[in-house]
Amino acid sequence: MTRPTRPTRSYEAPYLGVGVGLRPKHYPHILERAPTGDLGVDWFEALSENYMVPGGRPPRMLDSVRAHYPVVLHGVSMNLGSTDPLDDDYLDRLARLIARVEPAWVSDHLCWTGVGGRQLHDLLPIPFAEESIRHAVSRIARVQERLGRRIAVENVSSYMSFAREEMPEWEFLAAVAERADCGILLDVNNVYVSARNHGFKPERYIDAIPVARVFQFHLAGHSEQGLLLIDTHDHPVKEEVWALFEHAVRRFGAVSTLIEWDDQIPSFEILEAHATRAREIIERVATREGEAPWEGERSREPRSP
Amino acid sequence: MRESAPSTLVETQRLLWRLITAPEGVRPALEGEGDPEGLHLAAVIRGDARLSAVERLDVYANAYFFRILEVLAKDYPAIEATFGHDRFHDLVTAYLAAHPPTRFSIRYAGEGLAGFIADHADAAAVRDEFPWASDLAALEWAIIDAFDAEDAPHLTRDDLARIPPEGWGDLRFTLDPSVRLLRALWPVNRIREASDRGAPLPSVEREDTVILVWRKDERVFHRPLDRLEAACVGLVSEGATFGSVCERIALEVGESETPARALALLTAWIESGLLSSGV
Repeated sequence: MTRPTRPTRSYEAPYLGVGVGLRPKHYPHILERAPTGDLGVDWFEALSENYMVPGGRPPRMLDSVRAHYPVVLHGVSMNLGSTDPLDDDYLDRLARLIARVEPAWVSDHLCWTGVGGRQLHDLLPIPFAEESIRHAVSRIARVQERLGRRIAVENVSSYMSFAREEMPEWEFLAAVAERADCGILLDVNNVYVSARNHGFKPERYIDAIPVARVFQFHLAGHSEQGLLLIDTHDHPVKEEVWALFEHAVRRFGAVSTLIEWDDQIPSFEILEAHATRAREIIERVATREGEAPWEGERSREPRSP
Repeated sequence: MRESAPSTLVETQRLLWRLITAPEGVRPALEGEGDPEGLHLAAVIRGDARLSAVERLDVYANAYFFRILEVLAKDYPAIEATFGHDRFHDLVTAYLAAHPPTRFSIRYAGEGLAGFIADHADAAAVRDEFPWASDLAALEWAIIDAFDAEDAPHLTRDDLARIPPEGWGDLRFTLDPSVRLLRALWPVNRIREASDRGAPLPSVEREDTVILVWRKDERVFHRPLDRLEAACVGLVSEGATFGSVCERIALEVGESETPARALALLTAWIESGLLSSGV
C-alpha cells in the first residue's frame, strides 16, 4: 500500500482532526477532561470576539484549553466585504489575541457586517462581481499583511442575491482566494443552505473550489423558515449535509473539520457523537484505492504552560 | 495607496443598512426611500417566484432585530422582567433606532441603554412609568462590565502583613479593575436580586443608594453600601491614602472606634477581593 501523494497546497494547514466550538456551557466538562486528553475531539474553534475582552473567565478558559489542544480563532467582525475602512482597532486586538493564543490559523467570513460605522451583527453577502473581487482581495491582502499570516475566509449562507451578479458564488470565492492568496474555510452546511435558497446544485459548488486553498470545513445544522433554509446552527447536522460532506471529503481528502453549533447548544456528548461520525467519514472516504488514508501531518501542538 | 471602495457598492450597502434597520420594517422604509413599488430595490436585489426582494430583506431585518433583542434580554434580565416581553420589545426598538450598534462585538450593543432611558426624548414615557429603570439598567450593565473586566491579583492579608502598621496611613489602595460604584436614586439592587432568584419583583420607593459591583473568582457580586462605606470606597477610588479614609471614619464614629472600624472595613474588602495588590 503506497502512501497517497499529498495534495499540493500553497500554504501549511495541518490536519487537526475533528473539532468543536469552545462554548461556556461546556467549560466545566472540558476543564475536567482536557488535562488527560479525555475528550472525543481533537481541537477547538474559539470565536475571536468572545475573547477580545479585558479579562475574566473567557480568556482564562481559552488559555486553559490551549495548553492542551490546538485552537483556531474564528471571527465575525473583520467586515472584509464592507465599504468602510478596515477597523484598525479590531485588527490590533485580534493581533494581540493571536500572539496570546498561537492559533493553528485565523478565519473570518467573506461578507460584510456593517457600513457607515454601524454594525448589523450579521453576515451579509457581497455581489459576485469583478469589482467586489478586487475590493475584497485588497482588504484581505492588508489584513494578512497586518496579521503576518494567511487567513481563511468562510463562505456565508445567504437569503438574497444581487441583480448585477456576474458569476456564481463558487467562482467568486475561488477567485478571491486565489488572487488574495488566502485560505478557504468551506462551510458545507452554508453551501447546502445557499444551494437550496438560490437553486443550484451544492455538489457543483464543492467541485469548483480549489483543493489547495481549503484549510478547514464547517459542519452545522440549519432550520426551515417558510420557503428558505436559515443557517441557524442550532440543530443536528442534516443527513443531506452529511452526504455533501462525504462528497467534499472524497474531493479534498482529510481536512480539519469543525462541528459548529451556536444556539440551543447540546451536551458535549452530542457534539462528540457528531465528531465521531465526521471522523468515521474522513477515515473511510479520504483514500485513493489501494492507498492509506491521507491525513497530512496530524498536529496536536499542545503548548507547555 | 489604499483603494477607495467602489461607489456602487457603497450605495448598495448603505441602502441595505437603512432598509434592514428601519424600525417600521422594510416595506414602509421603501416608501420613505421614495421607492414605494420597490422598483429601485429590484435593480439591486433579485427577487423570484418564491420570494420577492422585500421578503428576502425581511429575513435580514428580522435577524438584525431579534439577534440584538436576545442579547439585550440576557444582559438586562431585570429590565426585561420589569417591562414584560412586549414593552421590552418596544424599548429595544426605540433604543436601536437611537443607538444603532457601532462596536465590532455584539457584547457592547446594549452599552447605551441606561443613558437612553435616562435622557432620550423617545424614552420619556418609560421614565414616567418606570422612574427607576435607568438606575436598574446601569446596575445590570455594571454587572456585565465586571464579568470580563481586566484581571489583577488580589491584595491578601499576607500582603498587608508585610507592611508595618505605622506605614498603613500612607498606603493608597487600588480597587480591583472590576469594581464599579453606582450612585442610584432608587434601591434597584433589590429588583436585580429578586430577578436573579426568579422571585416576584419588589416595588421600590425612591431612596438614595450606593451599590458596589465587583468580580471575584469569576463570579460577579453586588451589594448596597451604607453611607460610611460608600464614602470610604469613594475615597479609595480617588487615590486617597488609608489615613484619609480613617479620618473620614473618625468623623462618623469618633476617634476611639476608628481603628476597629477601619480594620473591619479593610478586612472585608480584602476578603471580598475588592483590592488589587498594586498598593
